[in-house]
Amino acid sequence: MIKLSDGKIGTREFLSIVMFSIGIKFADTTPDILFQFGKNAAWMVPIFSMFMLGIPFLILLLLIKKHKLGLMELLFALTGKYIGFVLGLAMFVIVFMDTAVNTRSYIDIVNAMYFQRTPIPYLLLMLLAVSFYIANRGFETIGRTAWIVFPYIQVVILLLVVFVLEDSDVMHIFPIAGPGMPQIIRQSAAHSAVFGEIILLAAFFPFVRQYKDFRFASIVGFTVACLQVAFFCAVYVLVYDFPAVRQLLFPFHQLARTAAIGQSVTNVEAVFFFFWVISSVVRFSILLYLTVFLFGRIIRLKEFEPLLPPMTGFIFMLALLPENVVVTNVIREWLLNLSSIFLIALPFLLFLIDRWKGRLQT
Amino acid sequence: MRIAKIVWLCIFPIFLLTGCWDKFELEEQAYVVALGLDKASDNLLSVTFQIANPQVGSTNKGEAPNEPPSDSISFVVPDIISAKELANSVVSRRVNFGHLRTIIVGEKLAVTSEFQHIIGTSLRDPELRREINLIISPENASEFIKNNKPKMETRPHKYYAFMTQRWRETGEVPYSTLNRYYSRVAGELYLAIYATTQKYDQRGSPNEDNYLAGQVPQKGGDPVQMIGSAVFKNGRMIGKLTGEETRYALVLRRRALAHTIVASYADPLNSKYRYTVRLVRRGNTQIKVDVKQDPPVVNVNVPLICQVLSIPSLIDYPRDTHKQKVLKASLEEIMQSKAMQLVQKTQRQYEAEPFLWYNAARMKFWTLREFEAYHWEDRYSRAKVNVDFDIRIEMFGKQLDPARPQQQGRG
Repeated sequence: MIKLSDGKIGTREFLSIVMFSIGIKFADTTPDILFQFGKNAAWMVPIFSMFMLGIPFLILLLLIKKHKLGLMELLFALTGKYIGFVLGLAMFVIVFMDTAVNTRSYIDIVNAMYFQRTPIPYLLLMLLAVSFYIANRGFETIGRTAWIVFPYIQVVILLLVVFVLEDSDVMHIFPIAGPGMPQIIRQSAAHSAVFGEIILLAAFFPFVRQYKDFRFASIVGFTVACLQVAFFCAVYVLVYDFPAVRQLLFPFHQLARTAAIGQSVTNVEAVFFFFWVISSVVRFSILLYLTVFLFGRIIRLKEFEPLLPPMTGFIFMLALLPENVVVTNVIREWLLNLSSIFLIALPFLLFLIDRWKGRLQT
Repeated sequence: MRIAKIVWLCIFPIFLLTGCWDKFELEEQAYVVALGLDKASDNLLSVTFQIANPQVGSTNKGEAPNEPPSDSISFVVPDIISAKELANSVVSRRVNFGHLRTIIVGEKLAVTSEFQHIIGTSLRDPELRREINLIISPENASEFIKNNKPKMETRPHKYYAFMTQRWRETGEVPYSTLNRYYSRVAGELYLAIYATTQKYDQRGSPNEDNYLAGQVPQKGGDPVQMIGSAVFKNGRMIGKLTGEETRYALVLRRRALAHTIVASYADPLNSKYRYTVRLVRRGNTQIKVDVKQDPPVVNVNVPLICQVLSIPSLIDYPRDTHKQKVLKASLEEIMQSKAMQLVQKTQRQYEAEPFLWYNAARMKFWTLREFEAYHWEDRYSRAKVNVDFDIRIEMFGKQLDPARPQQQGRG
């Protein structure tokens, strides 16, 4: 039976969206940041961050269940027009900056590892143009695209692990606590915004068919995504050993170069690069759409999709500003620390206001 | 609207032609298959490229019948990357490291402390992969490349590819890539392949693997001998191990890269003869480090499977279980004493270990700082090491009794 499209998505589409916005982070510059402070125990950081963000997210789920509203609507309903606007603006700025910084860091990877002579503005334009093309078709298309490519990407990255198995040694993971537990936990909290998209993705609740779909997809997707990032951080240490892993940038892409199928089939990184580009495009189409959606909501626009082209243009220009990947990483680090506090605190704040309002009514 | 769409559809494919800046034509590439590094005066580097000629060995060789399979060029430059650019003043095609698998380093360069930085800085180039094999030669690398004319392998990259495979099987040289070099540049010892095209002190030894490269008594064949290993500490070469020592060093490591050892040992019941066995790992070598005691105690247990390949003394080991026990005990004892000799050599001479035992020691610590404060290399040089070989004789080949001429006469 062919169902009429209602512009909404189901469990599997939302699950792939969560996976593409969070679970793919092991392949960009996120591990570089994690290894700087997490050292050989960087793989624990995603797991700790998972719990640190998981609790606020569960609280948010409670509120969503109670009010049947997306994050933005909830924000306005609970905090009113003005405070809601300020908080919404803060969220928009986080996503906007995050998208710009991330596109740039992805392009830095492409530039450093694959196309060194191609100018960065051109690469950036290509990435944003293709992401825009998908985002422009609406949220349903993004969800469908994500779901279509999701299994292939997962299979390919698992294959990568199989191919590098020979070069890895489990013993490299020790000493298990790396820089020490207090340091890891403190830094996991400060960097939990690495996985903070899960809070922001709650804004998409109105696009998901049922609350049940949303709950399942976001909880499962978030857990699997964090574990996947953790697993890959461990694989990098197993292959490169510490401290060498801390000295190299873009470990995923270096891993792809290490991969060999037997003796004769080497230099297979192009295969992994191909799938990585596809997943990046899906990821940025989600982020672009989220940026525009948040902006549309804070200025109370019903029709927000026409904002996509100008917003993409802004992101393009903003992403051109940093000089190189180190600068990008510094900005990203700073953004992560700031938004971590905000994203962890937001659900608690909403919950308290909800309680307080509820008491007022009774 | 419709026209706009058509115009868009026509324009968009242009963007798909991306990569115009980085496109390269296969025809215009000069693939470097081996890179030689030597010390030159004034902190400079002498870089030798061995560039493959893809036409040789392919079906269209007929078009250029007199071209050699490869060509080598040397330059004196500050670093590898600038050599690549400079090479294009001579080479008509674009020099490409995409298929570079082997770097040969002259011993004179390897012993300097700058060596680490020379390799390290060039790793920034994405064309230089971390899986490149590192070979150390006592003569200059340029000489090595020039002399290395394998007779049976026309194409040079094939030679290195096949040799790597053989090395991993025999364990007479270590498996040494830049990646491994880079994870062991601190106090631990790193072993690199040792090879030469020269002949040194060639005396036959009853121990067929107790040679360094250049000492193997060989007549005819290819000029390159690869056996033994160069020992690196803190990123520079400080010594070398013979083929036999290298094998023991590899066997004492926790994980084996699937090599088997075929070697001969003195027959315990008839010292005139030596028997030949193939030794295969039965599992991971068990390494237990007790860091609570000072000096630390290291217990190593190597489980091996032994396949007896030849018994020239004609003693009836296959059928006599008692004699098998004697054989096993003597084998274990010989191996143990040789392993201990190597351990003592590393403790006294190098004050560090190539066996990756630091991994086992590291496991005993909770944080990195604690491990660093422990100074494993210092402790190791004083450590009490016990090595045990646990050998199981699995088979005696496909013959029960050796063929004896007199028996045949009687029968």
